[in-house]
Amino acid sequence: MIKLMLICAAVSAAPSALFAGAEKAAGMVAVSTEPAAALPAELVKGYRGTSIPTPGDQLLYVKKGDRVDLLVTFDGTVEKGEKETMTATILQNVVVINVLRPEKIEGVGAIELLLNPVEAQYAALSVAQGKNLNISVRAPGDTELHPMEMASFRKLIK
Amino acid sequence: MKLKIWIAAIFCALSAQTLPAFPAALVPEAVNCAAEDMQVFYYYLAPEPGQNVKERATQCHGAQTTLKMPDWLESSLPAMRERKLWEDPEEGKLSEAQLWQTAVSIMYEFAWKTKKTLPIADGGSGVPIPALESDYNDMRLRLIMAIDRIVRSGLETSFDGRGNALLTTLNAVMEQMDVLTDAIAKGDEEGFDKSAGEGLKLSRGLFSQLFEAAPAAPAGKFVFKYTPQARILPGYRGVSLRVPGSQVMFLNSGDRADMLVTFEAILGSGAKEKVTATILQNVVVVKVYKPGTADEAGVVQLLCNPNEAQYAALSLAQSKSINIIRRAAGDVELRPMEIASFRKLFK
Repeated sequence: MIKLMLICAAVSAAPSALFAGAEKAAGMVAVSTEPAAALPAELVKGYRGTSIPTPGDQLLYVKKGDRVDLLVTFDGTVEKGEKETMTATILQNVVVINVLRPEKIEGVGAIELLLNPVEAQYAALSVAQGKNLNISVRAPGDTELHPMEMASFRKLIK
Repeated sequence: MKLKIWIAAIFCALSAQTLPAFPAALVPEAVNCAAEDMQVFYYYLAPEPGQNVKERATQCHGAQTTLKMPDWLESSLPAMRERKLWEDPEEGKLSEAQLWQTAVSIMYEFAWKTKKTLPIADGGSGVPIPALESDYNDMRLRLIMAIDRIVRSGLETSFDGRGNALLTTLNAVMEQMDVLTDAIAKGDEEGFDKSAGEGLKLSRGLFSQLFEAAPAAPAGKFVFKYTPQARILPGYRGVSLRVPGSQVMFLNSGDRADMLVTFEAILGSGAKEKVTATILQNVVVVKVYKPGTADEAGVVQLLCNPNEAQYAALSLAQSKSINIIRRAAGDVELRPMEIASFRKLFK
């Protein structure tokens, strides 16, 4: 079952549209649609342990077993080929299976997320394409998924 | 002589109907009796408590086999039910009695859920404690909100002057709820048992307070001795932001703050200008990491909704600087804010 869903006007757009053609992808977000309520905080069949390099400050308050969202900030192409920095919630409600915190918060640590193969691809793409990755922590038991519009200062400040 | 003292003690206990102190242990009797006490308390506040509530047979109060609803309570209740003090968008206007009822019903739910964790042989359901983690977190949150409404409605003198004492007990329950949910998150079963036992004891103590004499002096403004921990709430996200140490030195968990972002905006002419915007208002500080010195990096974890979380992340990536500014306790007002720019200022 495909767990990652692209919610946008152009659902059939190539996945890379999220980064390459933000004008088409305006309002598009990727969300996990399969409630992973029963997933344990360890690697299970059908899923992949996806390790992501993460700044120490992002890992300070994350622990194994938490459910998190992965936010990626990237330069999207908007009208007239202009670039604009925007933030998208690329993965929602994913389980943390390992955390390696660096000695200092300025250092780089790693977080291992339990992702299905499609989500793992998007996580890898986010690492390669994104300017910044942020991990936001959910409350225990909060597994709800939200359709999310991307954030951009252009939208906010008109 | 000894016999006389003993008889006198029994007489005093029955006439004042003071209930005995209870042990703080997670045993079937404690769970069942806490549930019974909270159920009776709840029905005392109901519109028409039946005779079986006003005079209830019990095995939970030592020698007292019948628990009689206190006379002062019966006479106070009509006014408590009449006085509408809180407007709830979903539940409508709530009376003084209903505000207390909400807290009591959560305490009943607490006992009932806790009973589920007992072994089947002890009358429980043998439910593993971690399976109830979100239930306990939910109860914790609802209890905080219920107590907050009571305090904000100024019910210190409620229950014929006992309101303040009841709130003190509920505040102690809040603390145990924090300890208990922490213990569940850490997989600390012993810690869970201890705090659940304390919580049940406090529930029973809360009920006992109805049978104690009212304080002679009128109650003053209630002051929380324990402030519940700021935590990530369902529907919200804990967003960690690395900021200069100078920004977090005076910030504490539980504070409310605004987040200011300075960035380069592109003007209509294509020129760039540095501007500052208040990007988030009235967000709760969940955790703070304060470095040793102000010039090192610190971290603040903010409680944001998913959309705010995206803007916080975007600000971090885009901005020249982030400022976290503290609000005064109780200041939750949101203000429309115009972006600051020197171009606007110096015309």
